[in-house]
Amino acid sequence: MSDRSSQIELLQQRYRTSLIEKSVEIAELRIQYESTDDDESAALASQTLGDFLHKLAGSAGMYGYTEIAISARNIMMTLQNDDSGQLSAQLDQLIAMCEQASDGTST
Amino acid sequence: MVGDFAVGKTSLTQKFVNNVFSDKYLTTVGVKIDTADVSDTKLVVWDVAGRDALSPINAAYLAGAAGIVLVGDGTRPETIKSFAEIWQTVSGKLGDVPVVVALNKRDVDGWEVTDDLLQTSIQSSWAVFETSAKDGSNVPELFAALVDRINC
Amino acid sequence: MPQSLPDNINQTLMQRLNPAYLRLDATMKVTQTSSNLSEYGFADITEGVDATEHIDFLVGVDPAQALSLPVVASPNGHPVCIELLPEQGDLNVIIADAREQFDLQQKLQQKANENQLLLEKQRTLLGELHAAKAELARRNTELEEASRLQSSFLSGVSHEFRTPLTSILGHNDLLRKSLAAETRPKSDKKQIYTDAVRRASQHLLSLVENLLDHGKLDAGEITINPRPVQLSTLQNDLEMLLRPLADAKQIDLLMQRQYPVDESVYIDESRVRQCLINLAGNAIKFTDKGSVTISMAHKDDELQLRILDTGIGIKKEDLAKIRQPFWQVADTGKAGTGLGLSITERIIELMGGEMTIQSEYGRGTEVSFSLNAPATDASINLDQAREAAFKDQVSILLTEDDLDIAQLVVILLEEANAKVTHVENGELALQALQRDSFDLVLMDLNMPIMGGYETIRRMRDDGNHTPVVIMTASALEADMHKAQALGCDGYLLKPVEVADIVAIADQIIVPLE
Repeated sequence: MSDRSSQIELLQQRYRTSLIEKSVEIAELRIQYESTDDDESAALASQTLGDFLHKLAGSAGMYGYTEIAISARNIMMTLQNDDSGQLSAQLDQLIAMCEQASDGTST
Repeated sequence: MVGDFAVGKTSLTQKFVNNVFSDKYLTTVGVKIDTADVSDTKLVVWDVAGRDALSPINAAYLAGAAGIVLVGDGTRPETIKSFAEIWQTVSGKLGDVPVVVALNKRDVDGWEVTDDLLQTSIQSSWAVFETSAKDGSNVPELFAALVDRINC
Repeated sequence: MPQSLPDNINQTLMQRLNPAYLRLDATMKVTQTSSNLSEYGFADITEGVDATEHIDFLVGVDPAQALSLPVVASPNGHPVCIELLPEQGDLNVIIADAREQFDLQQKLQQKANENQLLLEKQRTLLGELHAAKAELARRNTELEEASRLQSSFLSGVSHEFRTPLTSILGHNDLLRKSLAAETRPKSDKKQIYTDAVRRASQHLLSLVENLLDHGKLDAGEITINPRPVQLSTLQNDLEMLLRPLADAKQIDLLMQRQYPVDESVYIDESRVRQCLINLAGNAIKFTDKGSVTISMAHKDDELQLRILDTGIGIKKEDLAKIRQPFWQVADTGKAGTGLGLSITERIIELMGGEMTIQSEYGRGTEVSFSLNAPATDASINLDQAREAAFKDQVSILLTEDDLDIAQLVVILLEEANAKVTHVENGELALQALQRDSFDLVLMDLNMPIMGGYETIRRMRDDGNHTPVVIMTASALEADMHKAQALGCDGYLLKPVEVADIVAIADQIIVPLE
């Protein structure tokens, strides 16, 4: 195995592990978003969550977690449309996907 | 009156002599002879059958002519190009007689007389008239000019 | 021959010809006449008169010359044959009936001359036809030229429109964001106004895009570049883009997939995506209840694509018209440029496919097309990425704040024969660009301190024209327009594959030599 291949494998392992942290972060951002009581903080929370999902969509795809990437992008769309009913279920699903992927043992 | 078939020799003659015109084409067989008075001159008009692919002009009909009206169809350049050949027949029989030229059917669409065509087909001594047997334009002038030339 | 026969013939001929006779002296005075002269209309001809005063055809003739005039119209209209025969200083004039010959010749000559006239007319008409054809050909060439000029004018104008439009959209977005951050009374309508501006601008932008594409198609400037594409990714992307539209109209968006989940094929992804978005977008637009189905099937190197809807359908008489540019169904009240379908059809044709539309008015529509799409090796992604490499070493500035992505991309690009410098935001990128020169800048958009667009704008303001390729996870069309307006050279959607970077870099990096 070449140097670079092992480097890539290392990165992939690290990313997989990071997915559990990411799921936690999503959950936190979600609480922030859902618990805001004025417009200003709501907009800010929405922005923060959106940015995070944007990044997740990009990186998850790079590491081959296509479903997570798509889910993240879909939620971004929901967020823009301000559809809170759908948002909740979608976030549940994304958190579950991240946890599941992180639990995986094989690469 | 000489020229190719269907250029309007009979029509010009009839317009001049009887002031009538018909759009219907009726070929002339042999020769038709009419007379008209132009000022003091009695003009005997020999309306000779037109030249066609099968029959050249019968020079017998030219006998004794004092002048010639060469008639061409301004919408059919070929009939004007024919002047050279017809003139050969005429001058062979009559020598250098007075000639006036009628470029007929001026009233019809598709006039195709070009300067080029005139230069190659018409001799400088000939008087040229653009005529219409239908509306009569330039018809009296045509015959008057011929009479003038004959009387000179 | 018995003597009676010539006599008989003679008699018959004489009867038929009915010759009249006239004898003149050298001064053309009549010396002798036959009694039947008046039958031919020659009146008042008695001995002693001057013949030339009464008989027109004698005017000017030489009495010493024999002359034969086969057919002459006599004064009463009778065609006659005339023979002039000089004899010892006198002139014999014989006039005979020529009706038979006249009738025969008249018929033949009339027919022949009429035919000849028709032939000449035909020749003239043929000549005119040829001339008209030549004229038509000339005008066609002129029209093509005019159309080409119009196309290039259209492209030019469209291009000019795009920059200010992008600016309007961008500033409107800024306005929306700052409005969102404000505390405002419920009755405040500002948000609604900015949304309206956004919708209208986006519509205008799509119109401009369509016009541009139309012009490019006319000018033959659109080329098809097939590259390996994972079908599931393509369909997922479509779903992501279209779902909100379908949801907004409360209709179902169904995805049918008939291909192995990891199937990759060679197609021009962006063009196929454009066609499918156009067609599915139309389907959603014209469907008010029920569903829109996007079906993708791959079999024997052929990709079959179908968009089915339960919408209003198309009337039979409109089916041919809808393919024409700028045509729109009159009474639907739907907004559109009327260009989408004609562009889609032309792009499909450019890709070697054929668009078929089946529709039942009031029931729904099915649009389908097939493309030649050879399957690629199933195991692409990282493996394939490793095979792609730059021919000559290139230096790349990677501007990316997400370390997960940056580190991976650095490794993959280095493996592909690139020297990579990585910075984490736009400000650092500008500093790096001042220190060193690069063949290519890979730019993330969403970064802290200074984002991608701002960085590119400043780069260009500084006069730095290093090619920039944007990498982003955002598939929103507006981003792409903005990127182009800023003078970006390429646009990659995350997940980015090294093969894509190599391919795009090959196209835009101009060798320094």
